[in-house]
Amino acid sequence: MRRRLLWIIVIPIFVLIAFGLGSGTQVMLETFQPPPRVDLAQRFYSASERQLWERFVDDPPPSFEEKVEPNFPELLRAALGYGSLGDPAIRSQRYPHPIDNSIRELRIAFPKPELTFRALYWRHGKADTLVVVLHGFASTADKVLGFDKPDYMQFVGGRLFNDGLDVLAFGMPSDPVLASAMNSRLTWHGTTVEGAWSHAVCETMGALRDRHGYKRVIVYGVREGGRYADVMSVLCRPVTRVVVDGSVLDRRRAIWRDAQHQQMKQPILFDQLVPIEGRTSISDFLAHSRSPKIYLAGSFVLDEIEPRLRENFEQIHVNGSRYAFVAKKRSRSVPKLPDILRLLRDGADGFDGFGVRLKKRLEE
Amino acid sequence: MSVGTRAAMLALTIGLICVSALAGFIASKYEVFERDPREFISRVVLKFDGPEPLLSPYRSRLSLDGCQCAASWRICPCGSTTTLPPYEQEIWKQVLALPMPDAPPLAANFRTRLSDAVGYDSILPDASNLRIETFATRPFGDATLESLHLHYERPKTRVVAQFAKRTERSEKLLILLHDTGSNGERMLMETGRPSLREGFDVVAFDVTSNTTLLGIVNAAWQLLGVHAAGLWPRAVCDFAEKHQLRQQYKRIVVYGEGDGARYAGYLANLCEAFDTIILEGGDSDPSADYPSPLKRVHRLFLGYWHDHLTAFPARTSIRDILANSRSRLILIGDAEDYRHRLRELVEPAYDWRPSLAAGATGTRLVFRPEAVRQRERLLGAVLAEDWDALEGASLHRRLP
Repeated sequence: MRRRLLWIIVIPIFVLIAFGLGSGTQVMLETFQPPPRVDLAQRFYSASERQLWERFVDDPPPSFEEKVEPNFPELLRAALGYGSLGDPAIRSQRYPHPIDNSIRELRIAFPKPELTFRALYWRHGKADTLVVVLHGFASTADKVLGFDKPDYMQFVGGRLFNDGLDVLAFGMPSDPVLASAMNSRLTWHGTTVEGAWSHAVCETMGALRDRHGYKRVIVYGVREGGRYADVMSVLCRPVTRVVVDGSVLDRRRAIWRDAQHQQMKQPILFDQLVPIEGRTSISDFLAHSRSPKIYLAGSFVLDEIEPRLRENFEQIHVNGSRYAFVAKKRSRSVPKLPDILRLLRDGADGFDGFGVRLKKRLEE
Repeated sequence: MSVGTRAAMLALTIGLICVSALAGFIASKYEVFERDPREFISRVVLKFDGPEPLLSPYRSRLSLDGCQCAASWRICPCGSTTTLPPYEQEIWKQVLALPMPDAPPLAANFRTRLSDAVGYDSILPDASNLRIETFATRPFGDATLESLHLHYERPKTRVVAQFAKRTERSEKLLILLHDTGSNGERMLMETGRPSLREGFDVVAFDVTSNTTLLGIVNAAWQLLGVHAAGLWPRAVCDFAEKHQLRQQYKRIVVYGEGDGARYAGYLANLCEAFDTIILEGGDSDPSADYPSPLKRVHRLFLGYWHDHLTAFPARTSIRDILANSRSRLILIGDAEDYRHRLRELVEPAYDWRPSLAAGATGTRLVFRPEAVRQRERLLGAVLAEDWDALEGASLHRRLP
């Protein structure tokens, strides 16, 4: 009896050890295999192209001018083809959630060119605040509200709803390659991915605001969604607050750097109808913002952007500032819910960061 | 317990241990531990029991490798891990279904549009108004081959050209622009050598070879308002001006093949006239592959072909290149393609005459026989203006 009991204990231990040995063998085999060799020369058919590339990689990025374009909103509108889709028809249908009936799936249909965007709208009925959440690449509106696998958005939309806010989670471009392909095609029709989506979000947000009489509308864009939020802050009707979380702030240098590091996989994502990317910067988005705005970023990103702002902005205390830069601890995901709630509801007061104000000469 | 039972038990135990070791090996190979265990379990469940059990009201339509695009288009650009019917595909299909914008018979202000699209006027030669430096000289058959650097300030780069000069003074010059995947020197060897024998001096420029790399470089250059598709024609144009080629040579012919033909077409529109510009192959009509999603997605992944500073390929086509060319154009290409697609495209603005008559002053279309690579013979005949040896048509602009 005792011996059998011993076997019942010993055999699983042997099995476990064997499993460990098996996986260890595989790891060891992989370690012994040499890493795949990349022959740089294979990518170059031409010595001069190789020189061109190597020189491009070695040279530091050029010095871009830090000025504020006086007619930036018009430039941005023309570059993105903003508004060229016309007025949309917004249809609402029940989102087939097995438990909750209060979620609506909105279809925002533009007539020319025929494009229908999608958004999820989760409503309490009496809330006076609407939060528009714009996700970045690889996420979806469903993920934002918590109806799909978790990702870096951390169900922020669902959590905001649980905290008593109405939430509009817009379906933003999710895959960068498809977004690029769409961008190239949309330019043929007088708009761009950024222009079309920003316009669709603005129109939907405006319609919901008018219909339900929200006192406060807050736009919260994460990563690439933050870029759309930035565009909307310049081209949309003013809102209570725009929060741009984890977006690239110094876009020109980021594009240049990504190109140098070969991390630029979809260059046509940046195609515009009028090429303004090279002569505009975050300063334009700040100086021409129609809404108070908070940029959330890792402290090293803020350290990098801060000197670039000195040309046109003076730094002020973060408390009470219309435009604020707030440092966040976890740079790769959204901040903790209490922090997000505080930021969205009350602004940047009390957070670690700095505020900026346009210099007087520029205000004039 | 009998001996047989004991042996069976021992064999079972050893078998169990072996299976367990194998399971460990496989688990490690397929990175089971590196994934979310829930995801792994879901995948296994999905494999045996249909849709993935999620909170989602939808059923999963994901293929097991987690990339919906792989199933649809046999490419996998997907960054999303969604398990729902992907909205991305829905909107992409809508964009695909958009009708192609009609190209007007001829685009207004085409040269300005083209110049803006490739940043032609934003390109800056270096401080000395284009320094041309000879960095190597060597004999090349009966000629001397000079390797040249043309220095540019914006974009900060140098364009390379190989200039083969015959020992005897020549009155004819051939400028070569190669296709992707090639280079100036190779083009000089293949195409330039026979032309040298025919009495031409030859310059071969190094233009875009690797479209992926240049697509990446272009993304950065566009921030400066310039573009490689503008740099190459501009370099040829600047070189011709700096070297006073039009004074030195009685006849200058430019030959562009494939992607080089595109630059040659731009050159014909943006630079002062050369005697003849020959375009062989290439994207004669930028909108040609618009309806083909697969090819297009692939090409767009490279991000180069249709990429300009402005939305230039929309509402323009080869007929704008023909109509606004400052130089006489000769197109060499597929006979069937020219007889049907190109003819349909250009006929509203041109009379189609089914001969390459020697007296023709308009654009000539030389038909390349199918499945036979006869570049040397065709180009030789075109350069010698031996029209009787060629099959083709000529285009004459309708007035006004």
